[in-house]
Amino acid sequence: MLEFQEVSYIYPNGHRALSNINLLIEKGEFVFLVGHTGAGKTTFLKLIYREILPTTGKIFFENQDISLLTPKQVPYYRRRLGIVFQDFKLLNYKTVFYNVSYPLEVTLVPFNETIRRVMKVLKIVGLLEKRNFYPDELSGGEQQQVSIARAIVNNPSILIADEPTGNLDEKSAYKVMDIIQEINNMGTTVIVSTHNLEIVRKLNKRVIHLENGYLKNDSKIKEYFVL
Amino acid sequence: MKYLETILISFTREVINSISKNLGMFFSALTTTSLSFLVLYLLLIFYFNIENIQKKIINQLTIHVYLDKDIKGEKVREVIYQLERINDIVSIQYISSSEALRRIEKELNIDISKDLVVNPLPNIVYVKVGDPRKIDDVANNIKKIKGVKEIDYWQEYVKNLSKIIDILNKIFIFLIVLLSFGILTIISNTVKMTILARRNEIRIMHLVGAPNWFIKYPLITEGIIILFLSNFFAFYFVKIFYNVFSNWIFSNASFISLIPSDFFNTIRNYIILISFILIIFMTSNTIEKYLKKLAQGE
Repeated sequence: MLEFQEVSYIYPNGHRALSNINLLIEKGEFVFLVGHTGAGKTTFLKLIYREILPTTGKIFFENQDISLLTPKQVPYYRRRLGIVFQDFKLLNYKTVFYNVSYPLEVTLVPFNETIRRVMKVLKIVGLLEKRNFYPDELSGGEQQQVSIARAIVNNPSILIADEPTGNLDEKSAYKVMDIIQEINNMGTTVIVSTHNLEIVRKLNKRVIHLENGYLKNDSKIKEYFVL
Repeated sequence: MKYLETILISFTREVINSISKNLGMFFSALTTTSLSFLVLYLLLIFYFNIENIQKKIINQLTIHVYLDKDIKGEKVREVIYQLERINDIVSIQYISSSEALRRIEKELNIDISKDLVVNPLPNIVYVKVGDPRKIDDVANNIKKIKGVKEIDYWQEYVKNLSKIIDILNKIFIFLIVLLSFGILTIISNTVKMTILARRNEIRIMHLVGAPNWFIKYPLITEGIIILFLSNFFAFYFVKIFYNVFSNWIFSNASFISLIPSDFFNTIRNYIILISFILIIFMTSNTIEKYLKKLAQGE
């Protein structure tokens, strides 16, 4: 489904963020991306949602080289992805409902369909009762749940989460990960970058370990922790 | 139809959202552009009225062609024939010396011909020129005709008047261009500031797959709304003021004829059309640049 072939990325200032990455992520997989700060995790994710283009190598999404997408095709490509950020990136002047409906609004989904889909995802993340609240009125964990609801409302093929539990306490972090796991169980491919090895250990999924831009290890959880 | 309805609803919501979130900035831009348009319309009123006055004065000018005293009959016809052959002359009126004397007598209601041994008045031809700017060329051609003693068309007066009006026109054109550019810059800057104020939202829109036009058009519409509203306020304010002023001039100084205010409707339409095109171009360019930066991850 998603394939990196000899991918390297060098920032304009000369910093080499990723070197010669080769990997394949299958449909429906749950993948953790781990590594220290500066290991290249965020660059890896940015390459997937095409915020940046690889300096060398190719990235295929459903057999299509995403580097070849024209600027006009990029928004349509991104609609097939759901993105969750550590800092939530919610609009504070919009209610939970309108934050979640935003991707549908900007992609011009009819309002009746929007209501149906937003209610469905709010139920999944457990925030149906708080749909008329503003982000400021929610806890950090709940704000991240809104962010996840917004990411999945478009029925994406892949959910990309960049440190989704980074700003959360332990209880909220586990709740968020439970929701992400549930989304994966429904068939969505999930890629989560994290520092939280406890969560990685508990969920027992595939782990991609980056170190200084290199792929240090790519294995199932048991093999990873034995190493 | 449903798709169009969804586009319109989303679009309107985005425009209202953008304006309401930056209401202070919107009103300050509206006030500044309204005042700039007001000054622009005042300058245009001066410009077109001065040009109108110049045209009227010059159009009323006639070249007085004095003929030699000794030419009569066939020779006069020859001079008139030569005058008719000059381009840009629209009318020729010949007044013989005896006719001129008769007119003076009639005008002054006296009988002086019986006291005169010789009629001192010359034969004269009044020549009107089609394009007042060519009056000098026409006058020079007339001078070359045999039988013409001298000509008079208040050369110095025409030259000085034209010089003053030309300088005034150039100043007005300079100010008009400067002001028009200023107005467009203000509107374009407002859109730039709106983009900055909404950068977080635009980034989210970009990441959730909003097409560029969805981000771009509400911002362009905001610029167009500022353009239309400020133009409307400034134009009608100036029009009311101009009508009152015209009426005052009509009753107190009727010899000055001002351009009717309806003439400025056409000017306004041109201003709106040109600004409309430029605003779309300028704001679109600004937004495209920003979206390009976003696409490059900057």
